[in-house]
Amino acid sequence: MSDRTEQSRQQGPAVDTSKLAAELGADVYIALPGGRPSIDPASLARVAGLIAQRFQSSGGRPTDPRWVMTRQVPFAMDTWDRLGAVAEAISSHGQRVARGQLAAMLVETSLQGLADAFLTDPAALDAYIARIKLETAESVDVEHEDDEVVDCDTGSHR
Amino acid sequence: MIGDEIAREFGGHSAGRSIPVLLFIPSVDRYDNPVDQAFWRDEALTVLGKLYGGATALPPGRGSWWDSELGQLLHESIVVIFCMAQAGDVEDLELTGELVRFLRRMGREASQGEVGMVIDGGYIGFTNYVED
Repeated sequence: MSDRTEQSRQQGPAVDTSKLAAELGADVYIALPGGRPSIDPASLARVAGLIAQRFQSSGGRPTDPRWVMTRQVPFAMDTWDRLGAVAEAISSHGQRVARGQLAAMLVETSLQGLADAFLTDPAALDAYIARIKLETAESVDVEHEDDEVVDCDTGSHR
Repeated sequence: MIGDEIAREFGGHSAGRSIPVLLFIPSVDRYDNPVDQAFWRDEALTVLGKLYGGATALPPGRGSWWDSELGQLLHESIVVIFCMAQAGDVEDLELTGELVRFLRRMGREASQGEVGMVIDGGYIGFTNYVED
Protein backbone atom coordinates (compact mmCIF):
# COMPACT_ATOMS: atom_id res chain seq x y z
CA MET A 1 0.00 0.00 0.00
CA SER A 2 1.30 3.45 -0.84
CA ASP A 3 2.52 6.08 1.62
CA ARG A 4 -0.28 8.25 0.35
CA THR A 5 -2.81 5.61 1.30
CA GLU A 6 -1.38 5.30 4.77
CA GLN A 7 -1.50 9.08 5.17
CA SER A 8 -5.11 9.10 4.03
CA ARG A 9 -6.01 6.31 6.41
CA GLN A 10 -4.67 8.32 9.31
CA GLN A 11 -5.89 11.81 8.58
CA GLY A 12 -7.50 12.10 5.15
CA PRO A 13 -10.99 13.46 4.61
CA ALA A 14 -13.77 11.64 2.78
CA VAL A 15 -13.39 11.66 -0.98
CA ASP A 16 -14.94 14.66 -2.72
CA THR A 17 -16.49 12.72 -5.58
CA SER A 18 -17.79 15.83 -7.32
CA LYS A 19 -14.27 17.23 -7.54
CA LEU A 20 -12.91 13.83 -8.50
CA ALA A 21 -15.46 13.53 -11.32
CA ALA A 22 -14.35 16.87 -12.71
CA GLU A 23 -10.68 15.92 -12.46
CA LEU A 24 -11.37 12.64 -14.27
CA GLY A 25 -13.19 14.40 -17.07
CA ALA A 26 -16.55 12.80 -16.36
CA ASP A 27 -19.49 13.58 -18.61
CA VAL A 28 -22.04 12.74 -15.95
CA TYR A 29 -22.02 13.25 -12.22
CA ILE A 30 -24.88 12.41 -9.91
CA ALA A 31 -24.64 12.94 -6.17
CA LEU A 32 -26.38 10.03 -4.51
CA PRO A 33 -29.15 11.06 -2.09
CA GLY A 34 -27.96 10.41 1.42
CA GLY A 35 -24.37 10.02 0.30
CA ARG A 36 -22.72 6.68 0.77
CA PRO A 37 -25.09 3.72 0.56
CA SER A 38 -25.84 2.52 4.07
CA ILE A 39 -25.61 -1.10 3.03
CA ASP A 40 -23.33 -2.31 0.33
CA PRO A 41 -24.07 -5.03 -2.24
CA ALA A 42 -21.47 -7.37 -0.79
CA SER A 43 -23.10 -7.20 2.65
CA LEU A 44 -26.51 -7.79 1.10
CA ALA A 45 -25.21 -10.83 -0.75
CA ARG A 46 -23.62 -12.12 2.44
CA VAL A 47 -26.84 -11.62 4.41
CA ALA A 48 -28.78 -13.45 1.70
CA GLY A 49 -26.34 -16.34 2.02
CA LEU A 50 -26.68 -16.46 5.80
CA ILE A 51 -30.46 -16.43 5.54
CA ALA A 52 -30.37 -19.24 2.98
CA GLN A 53 -28.40 -21.33 5.46
CA ARG A 54 -31.00 -20.76 8.19
CA PHE A 55 -34.18 -21.15 6.23
CA GLN A 56 -35.79 -24.46 5.45
CA SER A 57 -38.84 -25.26 3.40
CA SER A 58 -41.41 -27.88 4.31
CA GLY A 59 -43.50 -27.19 1.27
CA GLY A 60 -44.40 -23.59 1.94
CA ARG A 61 -42.40 -20.40 2.18
CA PRO A 62 -38.89 -21.16 3.48
CA THR A 63 -38.48 -20.09 7.09
CA ASP A 64 -36.49 -20.71 10.25
CA PRO A 65 -37.87 -23.91 11.78
CA ARG A 66 -37.28 -22.53 15.28
CA TRP A 67 -39.89 -19.86 14.73
CA VAL A 68 -42.92 -21.60 16.21
CA MET A 69 -44.68 -18.59 17.75
CA THR A 70 -46.38 -15.61 16.20
CA ARG A 71 -46.83 -12.44 18.23
CA GLN A 72 -48.16 -9.04 17.38
CA VAL A 73 -45.48 -6.37 17.40
CA PRO A 74 -46.16 -2.67 16.80
CA PHE A 75 -44.13 -0.82 14.19
CA ALA A 76 -43.88 2.77 13.12
CA MET A 77 -44.89 3.11 9.48
CA ASP A 78 -41.47 4.30 8.37
CA THR A 79 -39.79 1.39 10.18
CA TRP A 80 -42.12 -1.05 8.42
CA ASP A 81 -41.32 0.62 5.11
CA ARG A 82 -37.58 0.40 5.77
CA LEU A 83 -37.91 -3.26 6.64
CA GLY A 84 -39.68 -3.80 3.35
CA ALA A 85 -37.01 -1.96 1.40
CA VAL A 86 -34.17 -3.89 3.00
CA ALA A 87 -35.98 -7.22 2.67
CA GLU A 88 -36.53 -6.49 -1.01
CA ALA A 89 -32.85 -5.61 -1.46
CA ILE A 90 -31.78 -8.85 0.22
CA SER A 91 -34.31 -10.83 -1.80
CA SER A 92 -32.79 -9.48 -5.01
CA HIS A 93 -29.67 -11.48 -4.13
CA GLY A 94 -31.47 -14.78 -4.51
CA GLN A 95 -32.90 -15.53 -1.07
CA ARG A 96 -36.46 -14.33 -0.62
CA VAL A 97 -37.08 -12.93 2.82
CA ALA A 98 -40.22 -11.22 4.09
CA ARG A 99 -40.02 -8.11 6.19
CA GLY A 100 -41.47 -9.93 9.19
CA GLN A 101 -38.80 -12.58 8.88
CA LEU A 102 -36.14 -9.91 8.67
CA ALA A 103 -37.59 -8.25 11.77
CA ALA A 104 -37.44 -11.55 13.67
CA MET A 105 -33.78 -12.01 12.73
CA LEU A 106 -32.94 -8.46 13.77
CA VAL A 107 -34.61 -9.00 17.12
CA GLU A 108 -32.55 -12.13 17.70
CA THR A 109 -29.23 -10.56 16.72
CA SER A 110 -29.95 -7.33 18.62
CA LEU A 111 -30.90 -9.28 21.74
CA GLN A 112 -27.62 -11.14 21.58
CA GLY A 113 -25.77 -7.86 21.21
CA LEU A 114 -27.63 -6.37 24.17
CA ALA A 115 -26.87 -9.39 26.32
CA ASP A 116 -23.17 -9.09 25.50
CA ALA A 117 -23.20 -5.35 26.24
CA PHE A 118 -24.95 -5.76 29.57
CA LEU A 119 -22.50 -8.41 30.68
CA THR A 120 -19.56 -6.10 30.12
CA ASP A 121 -21.24 -2.86 31.23
CA PRO A 122 -23.92 -3.13 33.97
CA ALA A 123 -24.62 0.60 33.70
CA ALA A 124 -25.73 0.04 30.13
CA LEU A 125 -28.59 -2.11 31.40
CA ASP A 126 -29.88 0.67 33.66
CA ALA A 127 -29.69 3.16 30.82
CA TYR A 128 -31.51 0.79 28.51
CA ILE A 129 -34.29 0.11 31.02
CA ALA A 130 -34.76 3.85 31.51
CA ARG A 131 -35.05 4.32 27.76
CA ILE A 132 -37.56 1.48 27.43
CA LYS A 133 -39.68 2.96 30.26
CA LEU A 134 -39.71 6.30 28.50
CA GLU A 135 -40.71 4.82 25.15
CA THR A 136 -43.37 2.46 26.48
CA ALA A 137 -44.95 5.24 28.55
CA GLU A 138 -45.84 6.89 25.25
CA SER A 139 -47.26 3.70 23.70
CA VAL A 140 -50.70 3.26 25.21
CA ASP A 141 -52.10 1.20 22.34
CA VAL A 142 -49.91 -1.84 22.64
CA GLU A 143 -51.06 -3.26 25.97
CA HIS A 144 -52.17 -6.88 26.18
CA GLU A 145 -51.14 -7.70 22.63
CA ASP A 146 -48.70 -10.42 23.58
CA ASP A 147 -51.17 -13.24 23.17
CA GLU A 148 -52.78 -12.15 19.94
CA VAL A 149 -52.01 -14.00 16.73
CA VAL A 150 -51.97 -11.74 13.72
CA ASP A 151 -51.35 -12.05 10.04
CA CYS A 152 -47.69 -11.16 10.16
CA ASP A 153 -45.48 -12.37 7.33
CA THR A 154 -42.91 -14.20 9.41
CA GLY A 155 -43.65 -17.36 7.50
CA SER A 156 -44.12 -19.35 10.69
CA HIS A 157 -46.72 -22.06 10.95
CA ARG A 158 -49.63 -21.51 13.28
CA MET B 1 -30.22 3.26 10.63
CA ILE B 2 -31.56 -0.20 10.05
CA GLY B 3 -29.37 -0.89 7.04
CA ASP B 4 -26.24 -0.14 9.03
CA GLU B 5 -27.42 -2.40 11.84
CA ILE B 6 -28.12 -5.24 9.45
CA ALA B 7 -24.72 -4.91 7.86
CA ARG B 8 -23.05 -4.90 11.25
CA GLU B 9 -25.15 -7.61 12.85
CA PHE B 10 -24.82 -9.95 9.92
CA GLY B 11 -21.13 -9.52 9.43
CA GLY B 12 -20.77 -6.31 7.44
CA HIS B 13 -18.16 -3.85 8.54
CA SER B 14 -17.69 -0.15 8.90
CA ALA B 15 -16.12 1.42 5.86
CA GLY B 16 -13.70 3.51 7.92
CA ARG B 17 -11.19 5.08 5.57
CA SER B 18 -12.15 2.62 2.89
CA ILE B 19 -14.77 3.69 0.42
CA PRO B 20 -16.94 1.61 -1.90
CA VAL B 21 -16.32 1.55 -5.64
CA LEU B 22 -18.91 -0.09 -7.87
CA LEU B 23 -18.72 -0.78 -11.59
CA PHE B 24 -21.53 -1.95 -13.82
CA ILE B 25 -20.77 -4.57 -16.45
CA PRO B 26 -23.33 -4.69 -19.26
CA SER B 27 -24.63 -7.74 -21.09
CA VAL B 28 -25.82 -5.93 -24.22
CA ASP B 29 -24.64 -3.00 -26.27
CA ARG B 30 -26.75 0.10 -26.84
CA TYR B 31 -28.42 -1.60 -29.80
CA ASP B 32 -29.44 -4.58 -27.63
CA ASN B 33 -26.86 -6.93 -29.10
CA PRO B 34 -25.11 -9.24 -26.62
CA VAL B 35 -21.60 -8.40 -25.47
CA ASP B 36 -19.01 -10.67 -23.86
CA GLN B 37 -19.96 -9.86 -20.29
CA ALA B 38 -17.66 -12.51 -18.78
CA PHE B 39 -14.69 -10.96 -20.55
CA TRP B 40 -15.45 -7.44 -19.31
CA ARG B 41 -16.24 -8.75 -15.82
CA ASP B 42 -12.83 -10.43 -15.61
CA GLU B 43 -11.11 -7.39 -17.05
CA ALA B 44 -12.77 -5.22 -14.41
CA LEU B 45 -11.74 -7.59 -11.64
CA THR B 46 -8.18 -7.49 -12.88
CA VAL B 47 -8.09 -3.70 -13.09
CA LEU B 48 -9.68 -3.17 -9.66
CA GLY B 49 -7.52 -5.86 -8.11
CA LYS B 50 -4.40 -4.22 -9.48
CA LEU B 51 -5.42 -0.67 -8.57
CA TYR B 52 -7.18 -1.10 -5.24
CA GLY B 53 -6.21 -4.54 -3.99
CA GLY B 54 -9.24 -6.67 -4.84
CA ALA B 55 -12.84 -6.76 -6.00
CA THR B 56 -15.91 -8.97 -6.03
CA ALA B 57 -18.23 -9.66 -8.94
CA LEU B 58 -21.79 -10.04 -7.68
CA PRO B 59 -24.33 -12.32 -9.35
CA PRO B 60 -26.14 -10.70 -12.27
CA GLY B 61 -29.23 -8.65 -11.57
CA ARG B 62 -31.79 -7.21 -13.94
CA GLY B 63 -31.25 -3.63 -14.88
CA SER B 64 -32.62 -1.00 -17.19
CA TRP B 65 -31.10 2.08 -18.79
CA TRP B 66 -32.71 4.86 -20.74
CA ASP B 67 -30.68 5.78 -23.81
CA SER B 68 -31.72 9.40 -24.28
CA GLU B 69 -29.75 9.70 -27.52
CA LEU B 70 -31.50 6.75 -29.19
CA GLY B 71 -34.74 7.29 -27.28
CA GLN B 72 -35.11 3.73 -26.08
CA LEU B 73 -35.10 1.79 -22.86
CA LEU B 74 -32.74 -1.17 -22.59
CA HIS B 75 -33.36 -4.07 -20.23
CA GLU B 76 -30.39 -6.23 -19.47
CA SER B 77 -28.60 -8.46 -17.02
CA ILE B 78 -26.05 -6.39 -15.13
CA VAL B 79 -23.04 -7.61 -13.18
CA VAL B 80 -21.99 -5.28 -10.39
CA ILE B 81 -18.33 -5.29 -9.44
CA PHE B 82 -17.77 -4.17 -5.88
CA CYS B 83 -14.60 -3.25 -4.10
CA MET B 84 -13.50 -1.34 -1.05
CA ALA B 85 -10.65 1.03 -1.89
CA GLN B 86 -8.52 3.22 0.29
CA ALA B 87 -9.57 6.85 -0.06
CA GLY B 88 -6.02 7.89 -0.92
CA ASP B 89 -5.86 5.40 -3.76
CA VAL B 90 -9.16 6.64 -5.20
CA GLU B 91 -7.95 10.23 -5.02
CA ASP B 92 -4.75 9.25 -6.81
CA LEU B 93 -5.57 10.45 -10.31
CA GLU B 94 -2.94 8.19 -11.82
CA LEU B 95 -4.63 5.11 -10.33
CA THR B 96 -8.22 6.16 -10.85
CA GLY B 97 -7.31 7.53 -14.27
CA GLU B 98 -6.40 3.97 -15.23
CA LEU B 99 -9.82 2.84 -14.08
CA VAL B 100 -11.40 5.53 -16.23
CA ARG B 101 -9.33 4.36 -19.19
CA PHE B 102 -10.74 0.88 -18.65
CA LEU B 103 -14.29 2.23 -18.49
CA ARG B 104 -13.82 4.23 -21.68
CA ARG B 105 -12.32 1.22 -23.40
CA MET B 106 -15.32 -0.88 -22.38
CA GLY B 107 -17.66 1.86 -23.50
CA ARG B 108 -15.93 2.09 -26.86
CA GLU B 109 -15.36 -1.59 -27.60
CA ALA B 110 -18.68 -2.80 -26.18
CA SER B 111 -20.63 0.01 -27.87
CA GLN B 112 -22.17 1.43 -24.71
CA GLY B 113 -24.24 4.57 -24.57
CA GLU B 114 -22.76 5.31 -21.16
CA VAL B 115 -20.41 3.67 -18.71
CA GLY B 116 -19.94 4.64 -15.13
CA MET B 117 -19.06 3.86 -11.58
CA VAL B 118 -20.26 4.72 -8.13
CA ILE B 119 -17.55 6.03 -5.86
CA ASP B 120 -18.57 6.72 -2.29
CA GLY B 121 -21.51 9.11 -2.52
CA GLY B 122 -21.54 9.87 -6.22
CA TYR B 123 -22.09 8.35 -9.65
CA ILE B 124 -19.43 9.26 -12.21
CA GLY B 125 -20.38 8.53 -15.80
CA PHE B 126 -18.75 8.76 -19.20
CA THR B 127 -20.32 9.06 -22.63
CA ASN B 128 -17.25 10.31 -24.49
CA TYR B 129 -14.70 7.56 -24.91
CA VAL B 130 -11.91 9.53 -26.50
CA GLU B 131 -8.74 9.12 -24.47
CA ASP B 132 -7.37 12.27 -22.87
